[in-house]
Parts: sequence; C-alpha cells; structure tokens
Amino acid sequence: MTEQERVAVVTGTSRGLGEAIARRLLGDGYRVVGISRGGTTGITTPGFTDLRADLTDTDRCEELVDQVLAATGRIDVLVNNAAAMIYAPCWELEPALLDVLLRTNLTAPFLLSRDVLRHWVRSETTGTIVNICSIESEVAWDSPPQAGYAATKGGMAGLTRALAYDHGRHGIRVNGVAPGIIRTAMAPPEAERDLGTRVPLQGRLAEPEEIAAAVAFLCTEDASYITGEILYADGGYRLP
Amino acid sequence: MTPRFAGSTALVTGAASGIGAAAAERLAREGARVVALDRDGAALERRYAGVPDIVRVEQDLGGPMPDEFLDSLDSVHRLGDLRILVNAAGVLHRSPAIDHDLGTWEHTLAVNVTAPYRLSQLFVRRRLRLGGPGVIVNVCSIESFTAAPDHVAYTVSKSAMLMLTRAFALELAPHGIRVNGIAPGVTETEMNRSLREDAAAARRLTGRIPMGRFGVPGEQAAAIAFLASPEASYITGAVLPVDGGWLTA
Repeated sequence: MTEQERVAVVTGTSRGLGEAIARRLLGDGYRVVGISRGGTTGITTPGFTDLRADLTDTDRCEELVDQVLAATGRIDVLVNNAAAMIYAPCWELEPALLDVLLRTNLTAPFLLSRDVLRHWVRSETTGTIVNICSIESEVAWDSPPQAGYAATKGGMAGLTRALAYDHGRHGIRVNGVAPGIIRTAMAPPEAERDLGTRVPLQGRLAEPEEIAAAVAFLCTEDASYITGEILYADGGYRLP
Repeated sequence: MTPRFAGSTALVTGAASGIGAAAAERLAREGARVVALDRDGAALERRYAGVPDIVRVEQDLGGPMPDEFLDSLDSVHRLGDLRILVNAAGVLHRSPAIDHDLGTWEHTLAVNVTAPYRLSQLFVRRRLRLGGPGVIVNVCSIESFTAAPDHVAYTVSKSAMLMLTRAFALELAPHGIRVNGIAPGVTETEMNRSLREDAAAARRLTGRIPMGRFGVPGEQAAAIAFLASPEASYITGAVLPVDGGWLTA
C-alpha cells in the first residue's frame, strides 16, 4: 500500500475545523471521506469523498463505517470532529436539546470508533483515532453558559483514554486534540473581539489550520508512542 | 522542501545519550545547527566526532551557571540564530525516600530543575535582546504526574519541571515564545537499562503499558521536534505524554 492509498474519515467537514482537517490530511496524501449533514461543498480536491449523514441518527451512524469500507476497502484514520454547540443556562437546556448534544458529541464518536476499532481488530490491521475535545474537557466556560457542551467534551476525554487503554495492545492509538478558541463559525460573533484578550499566546484566537496541524501530527508515525493523550492546542488558555 | 529547522540553532542538554542525543540528531537531520551539551565530554566525542552541524560542549549542569554562560558559548561556537532550547539533561537516583541523602536531593534538583530554569532564563533574555521567535521544549516525565517508588527526588524534580514549563509559557506567551514539554514514559535509555534487563521487572513494566512495549528515544525526539516546529504554533504550556498510554490508567 502506498501512502496515497491511506484513507481518513473525518466528521463535520462542511466548515471550520473539520474542513481544515480534511484539507490538511488531503495535503498529507490521504484519501479523505468527509461526513457532514448538509454536505461538504467547499472541498473539490481529488481524493475527497463527500458523504452525507445526520450523526444524531444513531441507526445511520451504525451504517457509516461499513458504507465507507465498502467504497474504500480500508480506513487508516478516524477524526471525530463533528460537534453541536448550544449556548444556554442549564435550566433552559431541555432534555431534547441535551440529547442532541449527547448524540452528536458523544454517541456518534463512540459508534464510529467502535465500528472502526472492530474492523481493525478483526482484520488484524491498525489505525489511529483522533477525537476533537475542547478546553472544556478540563475547565468551565462562563459566557455564554454551555454546561451541556462541557459535559460532552469531558466525556470525550474519558472516551479517548478508555479506547486507548483497551486497544494499545493491538497497536491502535487513540488521542485527542483540545483546541482553544478557534476563528470559526462556532465561536460566538463577539468572540474575536473580546476573547483574544483571554489568550496568553499573543492575545489571538487559533487559526483552524493550527489545530489541524496538531491532528495531523497525531496521525503520523512521529506520534507512534503517543496514545490516550489529550493534546491541548489552546495558546496557553488554561495556564493562568 | 526546505527542512523545517533550516537556519535555526538548537541548544540541547543531556545530548550525549538517550533522549537528548536522539533530539539533537533529529533536529540536525531536519536542518538545525545543534549545540550538544553534556557533562560527559568523551561520550559527546564518541557520538558526534565528525558529524557536521553538531558542535559539542562539555558542561556539568550541577553547579551554578553565570549570566554570561550563553555569551561565552557564543564566542566559541557561534550560536547564531539560537531559536530552540531542549532541556533534556536529567539525573535519576534510586533509593527509598527515607534513605535519600541531602546531597542526592540537592543534586537532582540542581540538574533537573535549577539548570533548565537558568538556561531558559538566559535563552529568553538572549531571544528578547535579538528579537524573533523562540521555543523551549522541556523533557519532563510521566513522573511529573504520578509517583514511582524509590524516586522521590526525581518525581519531585519532574513535577517542578511541569510547572516551570507552564510558568515560563504564561510569561513568554505575549512575546510569541512557546514553552512546552514532553512527558516520556519508560523509554529505552541508560537511565533504566538495569531495570529493563531484569526480565521480571521488564515484564511487570510492559504489562503496565497499554501499548505493551517501551518507547525508544527516537519516538521522544519526534515529539520534541513537533513541539519545536511551526506545526505547533498554537501550542504553549502543554506537557505532552509520550508514554504508550501509561497515564491512561
């Protein structure tokens, strides 16, 4: 197998960080299958496959890995990037809204990881998973309130460690990247103006490409002894 | 493609063996001019004699370091654009905590904490004077986060190095100088050779590691190189475990 034939599956590629990760991995020589609800129209690079799926639909999630494998024959990298974000005080976070957060940010990554891991173990191949966590995997965020999101990102860190622990013996690595505040649509509009002042590193927000570089590193052989780790790419946000 | 460290000079301590040596060689392979510092001049000579782009400095880090240390190095070795500092030198003394003598304790803290603190300070002063980007990578340990029996001075020193990393990162972030660390798990170096060569101990250790094997110095060097590179441009104050999953459980 040549490097050109390696396949990366990335969720949430329609915009922002997911799009940057897909572009970066394409640049690194992967074929990339991008999963998004509304489709990824921004990437027209050869080697990119646009796969549409609603990750809140658990039945659909359970088909996805088989669908990709039927088309590509292999998966080398899974990046669980897609996430929902709801700003609300906890008393306004109705169960139905919380359910959207849990399904998108935790259940879908779990199901996709489970099916990819099962494929790797059964076919005696290996690969690596990168889960997009958050500074909220470790610290709270005050404005606007987002307890539901924080809960899912804390869960993502636990999922990362557990899957890494269970599958290290198979040579499978599972890591997380925890971005600080990125200049994307997910950051609230006032973010760029005000939030930069909270970031030690030159008082600036992250470019999506800077986070994608950390993801790309964890996918390489240079990270061959790194597993179960959450790599914080946050400009020093949690330091003070 | 231009090597990613072309035009940069890197100072690497503990560079005669183990993780420091692997880091020196990795950075040199990627285009850096490397100043390799170690207390063991003969070992430096054996490893690097005739290697272009790696200059050797015999220096014990257990004693005081004068303010002029880097300037005196510069006058002999032409530090040039010294952008990268890798604090890899470290000592490990094994004995029960109740038997650690004061000399052992002080020497461990001197080499593992005070020396990287002083070198970081001098490196940053020079960087701020000359302007331009700079990056520090500290070789911490899984023992920055967890205890290990008979390692009290070492584990205390490595925890201190974790906060040294964060404190320098916070203060230097406004200047765009990034400070990070790696936290190696059990890696095949001289430091733990006797342990690894004891079959029962080796089995016990690898049984504790999710990946089921020890790391090799090159794997630590690869993480150091990543953190030192522009690829890590938004990463500061991070200590990245490179431990085969040791810290997951």
